[in-house]
Amino acid sequence: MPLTNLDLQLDPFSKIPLGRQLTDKLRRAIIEEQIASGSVLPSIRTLATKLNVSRSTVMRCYEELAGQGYISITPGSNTSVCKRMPGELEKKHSPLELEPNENFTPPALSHYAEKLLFAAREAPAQSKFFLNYGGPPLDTAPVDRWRELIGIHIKKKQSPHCSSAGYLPLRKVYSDYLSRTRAIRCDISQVFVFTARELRLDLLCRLLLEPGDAVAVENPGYPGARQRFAVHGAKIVPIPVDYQGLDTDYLANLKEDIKMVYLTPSHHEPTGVVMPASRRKKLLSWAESRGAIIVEDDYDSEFRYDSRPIASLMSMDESDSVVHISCLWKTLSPVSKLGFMIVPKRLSHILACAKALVERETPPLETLVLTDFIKTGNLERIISKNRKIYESRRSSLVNALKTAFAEKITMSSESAGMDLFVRLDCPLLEIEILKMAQKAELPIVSAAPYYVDTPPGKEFIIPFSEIPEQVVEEKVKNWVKLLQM
Amino acid sequence: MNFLLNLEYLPRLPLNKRLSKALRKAIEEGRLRPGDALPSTRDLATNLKISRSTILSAMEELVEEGLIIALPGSGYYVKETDIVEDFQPSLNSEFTKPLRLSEFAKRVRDVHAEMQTRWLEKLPDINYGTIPSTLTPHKEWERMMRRYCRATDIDTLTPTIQPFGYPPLREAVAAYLHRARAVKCDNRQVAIFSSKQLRLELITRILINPGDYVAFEEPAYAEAKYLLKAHGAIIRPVATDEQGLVVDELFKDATPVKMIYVTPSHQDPTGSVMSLERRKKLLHWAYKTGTIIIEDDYDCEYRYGKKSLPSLQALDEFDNVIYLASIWKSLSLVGFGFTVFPRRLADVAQMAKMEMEKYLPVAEQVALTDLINEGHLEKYLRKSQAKLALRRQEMILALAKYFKNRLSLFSEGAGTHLVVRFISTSENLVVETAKVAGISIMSTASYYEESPRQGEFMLPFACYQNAEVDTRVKKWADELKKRLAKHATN
Repeated sequence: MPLTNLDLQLDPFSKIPLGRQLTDKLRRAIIEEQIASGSVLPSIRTLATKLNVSRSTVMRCYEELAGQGYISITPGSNTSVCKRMPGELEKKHSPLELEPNENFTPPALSHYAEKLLFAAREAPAQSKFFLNYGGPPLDTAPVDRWRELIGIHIKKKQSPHCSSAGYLPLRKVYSDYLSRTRAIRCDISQVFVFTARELRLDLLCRLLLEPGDAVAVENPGYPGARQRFAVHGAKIVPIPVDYQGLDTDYLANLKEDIKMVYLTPSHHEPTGVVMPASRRKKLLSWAESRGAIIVEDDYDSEFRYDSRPIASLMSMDESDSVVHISCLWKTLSPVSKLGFMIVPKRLSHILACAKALVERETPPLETLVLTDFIKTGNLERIISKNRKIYESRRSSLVNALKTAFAEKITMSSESAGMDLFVRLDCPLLEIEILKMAQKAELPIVSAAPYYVDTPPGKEFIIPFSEIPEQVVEEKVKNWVKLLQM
Repeated sequence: MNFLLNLEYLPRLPLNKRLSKALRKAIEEGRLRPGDALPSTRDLATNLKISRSTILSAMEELVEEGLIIALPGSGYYVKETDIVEDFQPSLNSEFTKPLRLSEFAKRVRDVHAEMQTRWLEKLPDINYGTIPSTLTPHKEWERMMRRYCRATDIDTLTPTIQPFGYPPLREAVAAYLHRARAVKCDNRQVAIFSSKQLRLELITRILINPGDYVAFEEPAYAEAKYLLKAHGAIIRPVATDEQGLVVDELFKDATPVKMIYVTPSHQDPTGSVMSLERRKKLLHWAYKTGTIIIEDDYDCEYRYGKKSLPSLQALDEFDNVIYLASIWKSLSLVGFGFTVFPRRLADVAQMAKMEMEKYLPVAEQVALTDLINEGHLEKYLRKSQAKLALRRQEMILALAKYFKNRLSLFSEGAGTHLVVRFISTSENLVVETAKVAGISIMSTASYYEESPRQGEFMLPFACYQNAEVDTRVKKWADELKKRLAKHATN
């Protein structure tokens, strides 16, 4: 009997069921040729007695292995290991670096993939760094309420019927929410829900841009968007940002045919500047006269603390040229990361066609729960609750910084968003300043990646929403001490 | 409520008038509808930074106008009118500049037009792949989701998720595919996608330029071809027979094909299984020509009778196969798609995924990991295979009994539907009579790139209770005979 010297000892206390343990062990033994091919396996009864498990456990194990082609069961006769294994090759695990061969042509990647690889070589550290940055602190995320709703909806066993634009009731409640908070009035056909959030900007580029087309972006501005435009082969035209946001006069004086402008008017990333209404009007009339599309990224408009909220660009648009991108990331991450996009009427049909090819369903449970969450007012309650928390965290941080740095720090005056933009007057190098902050356990990142060209340096972003009031003063003090200022 | 009000700047108009004006506008525009509560005076005061007495006087004005009503102790509400008006967005519909669309957008439009004519109108409202819920682990799925909801440690609730998905899930999927289909890979090659279509979209993006040739089985799943056409690929159909794709045709043709899309375990839709010899030939051809093979194992879980052949991916020694799988047939609530990339493509695929989706739903991924690791998925597959084999047999017997030689059967032992060919019977008549008998049936016409095969249909068998099949098929055959007789007399 080949199995006598085999280690088939099962662990009765393991979380893995006995049957599964046995199947895995037997399969491994067969693959690793501890049991020779063609050899006869012990009968079900023998093995069951030996291992002290039920006969049905052994039987199921044999059946599974037979189903996968490792052993063959002949009724009324012996059970034996198959002569030829499924996927003969797995034991060899051939090395993948193949010998260069005259007959062998490696697969050529597409132009798109080559641009991706190029972009990754250009800025490898950056894209990794920004992967998880910017979500809400975990202590304010509505995890419990969310899970309660999952529990309720899983019982109903529904799967929502979606069109390619998304689940209709969700689009409805979300557009109502935008109408209340951002004064956006739109037709339901203009509202799109995306599970794959990055596809929003990506599909927009695909539908509107050819390689070489010019896209205007804020400088400094969100690097993720720039990267997306770059991999589509767009020509990036940086537009300076002043105390009123994107410089519209500079934009209007450009000779180039700008097809698209991407900006964050409600709360400029990273400086926090808000674009005033007069400039918004200028931008809109410029877009109308040029036939350009404006992409308004309204990424954290829900958090404003001292000033009156400003209507979104889209709500002021009369020429059907504004795309409004938003998500509830800043409130609901990590429980929900669905993205939303409101597009001009003349774009909605073609976008629906394009999206139908790549994403038709949204995850059923998340869709139902989010619809419920907005409809019952949970969303707005949690936002106003968190707004208070963040406002107080912001003012504690501002006070601590003021006391510690005095006139050696400049801070953005806009009281909005979840992070603070600061400029330091400090003799140390930027990298050293960052290191000291890390030592003082103060979350802080450099604003340098936001610039298209050489950054002015020593500009930082501090996510105040993550720092509780009780500890902020001490952390800032430690930081200053380390900086020897 | 976080209601946004825009107070227009109007010189010489007092603040309370400006506020009432803004509220009136919001009501007229339909942002506040009859019966809606107005934002509370306290909220307005904080948000707009104006005093509550100013707000109250603005409210008074609107109450006097009859636009809103005050409910003591509750707040202000927009007055309900008898006329229910449909909310119409007020948008300027005359546009001076037409939208400038890209070449891609134009192709999407063409493809959409093709879909409208060829596919959508012929698609009856049936779901030809669903397994009855008694044979699927829906209960276990619910239990796993509940477990997620009860978990208390923060790591389970908010795990780090990479662009390719939750690492333990990728591990579980790799192990499952290895057990079930002998797929050999390590976790780094496995990617989870939130939707099945995204898999092919990503592959196309990283491999195909407009004008490249992509080979498809003839017939093949139409939607996959539409996606490639939208990217500007040229479809090259390759014939299939009882042994699946006719590989020799590939050797004869000199067209440089960039990629080939195949369904070797169960040809979609005809159901033929590619022979081992052809599999080896195909792999050899791909290696020689540098072609990437996409193996779509779309319903690999359901096999009957014959022992199955290992997947192409398992046989491939040259790192040329991209393997696609999903579990939507066994668990329709989970729409995830899985992909196993060749090692040399894994890195660039990950970069491309970052441009599409960096994050996937958390709860579903955690629950699915447990579902697979604890063996529930495979337990149900074993259970349902026996049941479905029986249902399939019943269907075949009933068809033979009642239709005799009016139709021929063409299907190997896999999947959840049979393919039948009616001999010299009008297609419309077949569809109509099937509908009368309560049998869902679908023409394979949309699967063909060139001329469709007359009288060929897909016939799902999984959805019937055992006893039902016989009576329904009998009714169908009787109805068809009746109609044919009628036609003859006419």
